[in-house]
Amino acid sequence: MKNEHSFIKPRAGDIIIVCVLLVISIVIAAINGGNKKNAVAIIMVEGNTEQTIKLSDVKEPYSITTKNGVVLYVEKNAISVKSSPCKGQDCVHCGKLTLPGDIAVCAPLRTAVQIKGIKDGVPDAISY
Amino acid sequence: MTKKNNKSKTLKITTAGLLSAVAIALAFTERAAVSLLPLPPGIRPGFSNIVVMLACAFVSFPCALAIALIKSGFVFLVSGGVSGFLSISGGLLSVCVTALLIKISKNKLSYFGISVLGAVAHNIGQLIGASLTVGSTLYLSYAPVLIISGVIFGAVTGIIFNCLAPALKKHFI
Repeated sequence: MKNEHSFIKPRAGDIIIVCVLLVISIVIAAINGGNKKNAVAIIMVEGNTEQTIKLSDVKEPYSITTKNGVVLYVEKNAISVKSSPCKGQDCVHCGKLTLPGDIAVCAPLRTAVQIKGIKDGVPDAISY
Repeated sequence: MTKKNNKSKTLKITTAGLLSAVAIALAFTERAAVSLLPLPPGIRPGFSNIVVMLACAFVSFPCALAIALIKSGFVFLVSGGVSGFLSISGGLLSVCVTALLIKISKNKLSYFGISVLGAVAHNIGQLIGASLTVGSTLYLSYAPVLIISGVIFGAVTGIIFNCLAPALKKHFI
C-alpha cells in the first residue's frame, strides 16, 4: 500500500500493452475474414446450426423465422435480424451483416447469426 | 479489542456498501446515456470499473469482489438472468485481473495500463459468458470489436482514475 503513487506515473508497459492488444485484434479480424463474394450466413440456435445460407446465391430478398421466433431478413450478400422477441434488441441493432466475421447475437434466446468467408467452396474454420 | 474488531468490520461493510452504490449509480447512468451514443451492440464504457479499481487499489480484493457481485445482482434484477450472468462473468474476470496486476506489476504498469487490461478482461469475460450462453464459439469473432472498445474505454477510465487517485488515496488509506 506504500507504492500507490508509483502507479500514477505513465510507464512504457502501458504503451506495449495497448500495442499488443491492437495487434491481437487485427490478427483475429484477419483470421475471421475471407472472400466476401462466397460468404455464407450461419444461423445457430441453442448451440446447433439451424441453417447455412450462401448469400451470393440469393436472388430475391426473403424472411425466415428461427424456431425461437427470431425473424431474419436475407438478401443478396447480406443478412440482418428484422425482429426478435427478446428484451434488449441488441441483435436487431446490429444492422446488416455483410462481411465475413460480422455477427449478430441474441444471448437471451441463445441465437447467433454469423457471416463466414469460404475458400474453394468450403467454409474455412467452421466447427459444425 | 473486540470493539475495535467490530468497528473495523463495520467500516469494511459500509465502505463496500457505499462503493457498490456508487458503482450501481454509474452503471445505471451509463445505461441510460449509452442508448444516445452510436456504439456497437453490447459495448458499454464501463465507468463503474473506476470504483472496482479504487477498491482493488486502496481497499481490498474481497471488497472489489463484493462490488462486482452486487453490481451483477443489480443487472440481474433490472435486465434478467442472461444479462446478470454476462455481468458476473465479465466482472469477476476484470476484478481478478485488476487485483493481480496491482499486486505484481509495480513500476511496470500505471493505472492507465491496468485499467485497459481490466476493461479488456471484462469484455473477454462477457464474451466467454455469451459463448457459453449461446452454445457456440462463433461469438468469439466479435473479439476484435470488444478488445478495441476495451482499450479505448479502459484508457478513458484509466485517465480518470489517474486524476482521482491522489485525492481518493487520502480517504482510503
